[in-house]
Formats: sequence, C-alpha cells, structure tokens
Amino acid sequence: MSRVALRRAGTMGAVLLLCLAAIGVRLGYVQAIRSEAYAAEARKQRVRNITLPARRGAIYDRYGGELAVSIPARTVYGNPKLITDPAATARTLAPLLERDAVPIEADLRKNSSFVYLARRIGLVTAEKVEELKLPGIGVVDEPRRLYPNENLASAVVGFIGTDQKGLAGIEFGYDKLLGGRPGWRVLEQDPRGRRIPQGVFTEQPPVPGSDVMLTIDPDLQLSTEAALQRAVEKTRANGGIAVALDPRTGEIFAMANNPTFDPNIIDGLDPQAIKNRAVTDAYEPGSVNKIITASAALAEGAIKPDEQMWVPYSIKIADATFIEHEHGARSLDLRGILTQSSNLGTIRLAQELGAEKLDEYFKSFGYGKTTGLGFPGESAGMLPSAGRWETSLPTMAIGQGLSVTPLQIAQAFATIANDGVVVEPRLVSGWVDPQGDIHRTPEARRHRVIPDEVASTVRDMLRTVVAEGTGVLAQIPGYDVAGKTGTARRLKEGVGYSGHIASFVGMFPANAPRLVIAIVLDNAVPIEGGLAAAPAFAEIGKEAVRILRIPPGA
Amino acid sequence: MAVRALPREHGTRTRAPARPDLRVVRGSKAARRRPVLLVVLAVVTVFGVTGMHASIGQDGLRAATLERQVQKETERLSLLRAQVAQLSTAKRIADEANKLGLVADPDPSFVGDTSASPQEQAAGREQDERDQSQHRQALDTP
Repeated sequence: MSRVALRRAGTMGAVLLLCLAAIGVRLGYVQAIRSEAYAAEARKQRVRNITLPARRGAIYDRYGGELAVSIPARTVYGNPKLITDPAATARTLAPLLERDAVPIEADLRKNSSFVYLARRIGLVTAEKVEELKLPGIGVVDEPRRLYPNENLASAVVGFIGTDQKGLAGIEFGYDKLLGGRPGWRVLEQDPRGRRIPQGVFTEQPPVPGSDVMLTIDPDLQLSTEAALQRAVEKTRANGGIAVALDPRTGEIFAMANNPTFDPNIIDGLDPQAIKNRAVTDAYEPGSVNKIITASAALAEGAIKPDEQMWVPYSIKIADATFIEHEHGARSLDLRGILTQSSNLGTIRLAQELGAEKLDEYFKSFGYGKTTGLGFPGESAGMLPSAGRWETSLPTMAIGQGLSVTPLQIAQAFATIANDGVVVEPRLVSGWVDPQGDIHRTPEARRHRVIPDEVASTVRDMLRTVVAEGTGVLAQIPGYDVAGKTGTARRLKEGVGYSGHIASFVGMFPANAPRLVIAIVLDNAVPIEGGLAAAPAFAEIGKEAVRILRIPPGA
Repeated sequence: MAVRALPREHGTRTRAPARPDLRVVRGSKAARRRPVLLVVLAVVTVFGVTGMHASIGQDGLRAATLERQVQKETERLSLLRAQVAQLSTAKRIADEANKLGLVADPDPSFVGDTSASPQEQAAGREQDERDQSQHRQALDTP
C-alpha cells in the first residue's frame, strides 16, 4: 500500500473515531445524564391524567319529581397557539356553535393556549365539531344543570355556577352532599388521543353526589306562586312572599317569592331577586303579632277569655301617644281585641304582662333566632328587649319595633295550630346516597310554649277574625278558617318608615289545622292586610284543600 | 460430531506411531432431535406470546369501544330522563289541561257522614292519614 493511501486511511479512521466518540458522548448524555428528563418528557406526551367529574345529585320534590338535574353536555375550546388559520377555523365553527365568526376569530387570535368557544352545548353538535378534526380545537365533558320546572320554587332550589358549585338556595346549602367527590384516571394515549390498550391505566372512579328530597308539593307550589303573582299584580305591590306548611310536622309544602326568576338563565340576575325572602328578609309584622301578646296574656292569666277590658281612645307613653283611629273608647274582651285588631287593647294587655314576660314569650315562639331550617342566609330577625325604651313594650306588642321573617311568623301561627307546641319547620325530607339508600331527615324538634287550652282558645278567637272581623276575605267556602290580618309600617333601610306591609296568616280547618299559610305583600294598595293579602290566602286555600285532600271537618 | 482414534494393528508397522485415523461417531437419535425441538418450542412460544398480545390488544380495543358505547347510552338515558322531567312539570300539565278545557272545580263539594260519631270521625281521619302516608311512601320509593 502506498504512503498516500495509508495517510488517507489513517485520516478516515480518525474521522470515524471522532464521529464514534461524538456519538458515544451524546449517547452517554442522553442515556445517563438526561435520561430522567427525556423519559419524563416522553411520559408527558403519552400519559394523560384526567379528572373524572362526579355526577351532581338531583333535587326532588316530595313526590320524586325533578326540580334540578344534571345532564351531559360538552364544551368546545381552542388552543390559539396550535391554530394556523384562525379566520378559516372561525368560519367553519361559526354555524355549528351558533356564534358569529368574528368573535370566534378574535378568541382564536388571543395570546393564550386555552380559550372557551362554546360552553355546555349539545352532544350532537359537539360530535360534529369533533368530526371536523380541526387542529387546536378540542371538546371536553362539562355537564349542564337543568331546572325542568324553570321558575317554580327557584328561590328555594337555587342554582349553581359555571364551576358546578352551588351558589344559592338548596344547591348552595347542600353543595357538599349534592356535589359528590371527583375521581381521576391515568392512561397512556397514542398521538390521536386513543387509549393504548396495554399502556398505563389506573383509575379512581368518582363518587356521585346524593339526591336531595324536598318537602315541596309541586302542585301547591305552582298554585301558591300563581295566586301570589295575581295578588302582586292586582295590588301593584313591589313583591310578595307566601309560605304554606303543615303545622303537625313542620313540613313546608310551598314557599313562594315574587318576583321570581328562571335558574336556567342566571346571567345578569339582580342579587336581590334571587333571595328566598321567606327566610332571608325580616320585616315588622304588625297586627299578626298580636296573637303572641294575646296567647301570653291568656297563659299568664293577665286576662280571662270572656273578661272585658276597658280600651281607651288614646294612651300616652313617654313622649308618644297611641290612638285608636277608627273607634272611640270602649270595652272589649280578648276576642273583640283580636277581631277588631285593637292596638290599644293589645297595648293594655302588654302593660298587664310586663316587658320581661313579653320578651320571654317572643323568644319561646321562635323570634330572634333562626328556625332551624338550615337554609343558607336565613335571618334570625331582630328582637330587641321590650324593656329597652318606654315605647318598646307597646310598639312590640302590636308588631312594630321588632322584625321577623315570613317563615318565623308562619311558625308562630303553626304553634297555635299545633295546640301550643312549636315544631321546627323542614324543607328537606331526606337524601338518597349513591348506593340508593334513603336517609330520612330526623323528626322535627318540638317543645311546648303555651298550654293546649290557651292555643285552642286563641284559635277559636281567630276564627271570629275571619268569620266577622278584619279577615272575612280569607274565608274558604265549607271550611272553618282561623287567621289574623296585619298592616304594618314598612321600614326601609337608610330611609326610615316608608310604605306598608300587608299580611295575612291563617290556618284551616280551625278545629284541627292541617295547613298554615302566610301571605306578605310589600307596599300593596290597598294597604290593609285584610283587603290585599287575605284574598290571596283564600285562593291558595281553595287549591290546597283539593291538592292535599283536606276534608272540611278534618 | 465427536472424533476419536482407531485401535492400532500390532506388527504391521515398525515406524513410530503416526496420527490415528479419524472417523465419524454418531450420537443417539434423541440427542440429535433435541436442538430441533428447542427451536420449534422457541418459535411456537414467540408466536404464541405475540398472538396472545395481539388478542389482549384487540380485547382492550373492544373493551374501550364498549365503554364508549356504555357512556353514550348512559348519556342518552340522562337526556331522555331530563326530557321526561321537562314534559311532566306541574306547570306544563296544568297548561296542557287548560288547553284541553279541563279546569279545577272552583267550589268543590265533599261527601261526609254527618251521622258518624266523633270516634268514628276520628277513626276515619286516621285512616285518611294512613292512606296518604302510604301514598307518599309509594311515591318516595325510587
């Protein structure tokens, strides 16, 4: 071999050796030094960690009808960094997503790696989007909450947010129970997103939420809402509230708010409009409160049922003068005081009782504390001491200077209906866990407040209120109704007294009440509870006897 | 193949002994077949394992398809249930009834036994409550 050939061979050998050395170094770098990082990178491309959302439990009425259910839906998203032609992609998606192409294109041009293009759309549409196989466009599961009854009991049921968390009502109060626990899945996928059959696969299935059963009767709720709507329109009131409950069990059959809202469309809702004002808003009850003063006076022996009491035309207490506008001085028994809704007669009873006793009875009837319903945002009302000012005792005796929620006043009347025993109201009758086991809510707590004969006497007097007193418009043909009207001055925050609250609270059949209904109208015309609220009571009552199958002499 | 020396013949040669002649010695038949069997076994094993893997893969794909199908059907069931719920709301039924001219009697009448004693009336009320409770329970049962 010539020397030239030998030199060439040597050079070639050296080059080859250098190449081999470079490969060796790179191999060592990849296999030894960066091996973990590359392995992790590869895993990241293949292995996906997916959160499996838990099915949110449903909310049912007392007969198992759905008030809130979750249905499958899909969300379409885009990754603008992977989209090469945003304009063409937007034009393709626009008709499917029922959006203009311009805003879609604007979304796709954002400097982000994730944008929502359409949320919670139907499965068929989502499938069509998937079939397009557009680069940078993806579809994920995102269930939608459906409220089939729309406005019915919407303030009670509440609604959820985009993150599937309860924001109001039962949806919020029972969020933990309804929400369940999400699961997860780790699996290997090929570049087209299909699972690699023998690849990594571990899964923790989600725990579905429990279903919550309410005590609401859908038919009575519908009738109550309709009657309330008519009453609000007829009296041009700002709004209204109605509560119907079974005094024996405390079960709430209907809880209506007006104005109302559709929880399927929550964008732009006024936060005030979504409140369940039957439990969140307190108002000065006015004359309906006289039943507590009357019950306390009877129970404490301050007056006997047939005892006559001198009721003057006016009473001056401290710097205030209380006047009986429509009547002169006269003698009245307790029945007369309630039937004519005499303010001065009630004030005289309160004076006989004293502030301490009156405070005691207000508290035992449930004023100044929440009812135990467990509804989110429930107000305890406001109960100052009747002995706070000299004028506190007379004003509180006639239902001013203290505030209660419509539910609290309904509970007070339920106590009279229930022979003097307070029963905690209930809205949730139980829940069904994911295994299908039914858990009943424990029996409502109850305690006696006044002797049964006192409750029975007051109830009998309240019958006269409806038969021939201020509540005649609350009569239900064929039924003995007991109830009380209320016309109170309306306290507006930051303004003072402005307008009136008209109310009527009653029960039937009077001898053994099966239903208590409270109606409250905000700033109605006429202002009197007997004229504005009592007709709505009668309207709901007529429907209730049919729906709940209440015989006249039950 | 094993090779060994033949026994030397006495008195035929006087020279120093030369390299012994070689001859082929055949092993037993069983020993000869062993490698073939091993190769066949290895091939069968390789094909078997490959086949099994393919079968597992196919089953996995089928399972994934079935899972997707089950999910689809479950979703369809949920949608149909929701549709039923929407169609059976109290408001819709009332509206449909009104459209058909069905209205609730504004003044319903009740048939009562006025000659019944207070005890009989109480017993009747209790029976009515029991009926209602049973009715409620039956409806509550999912």
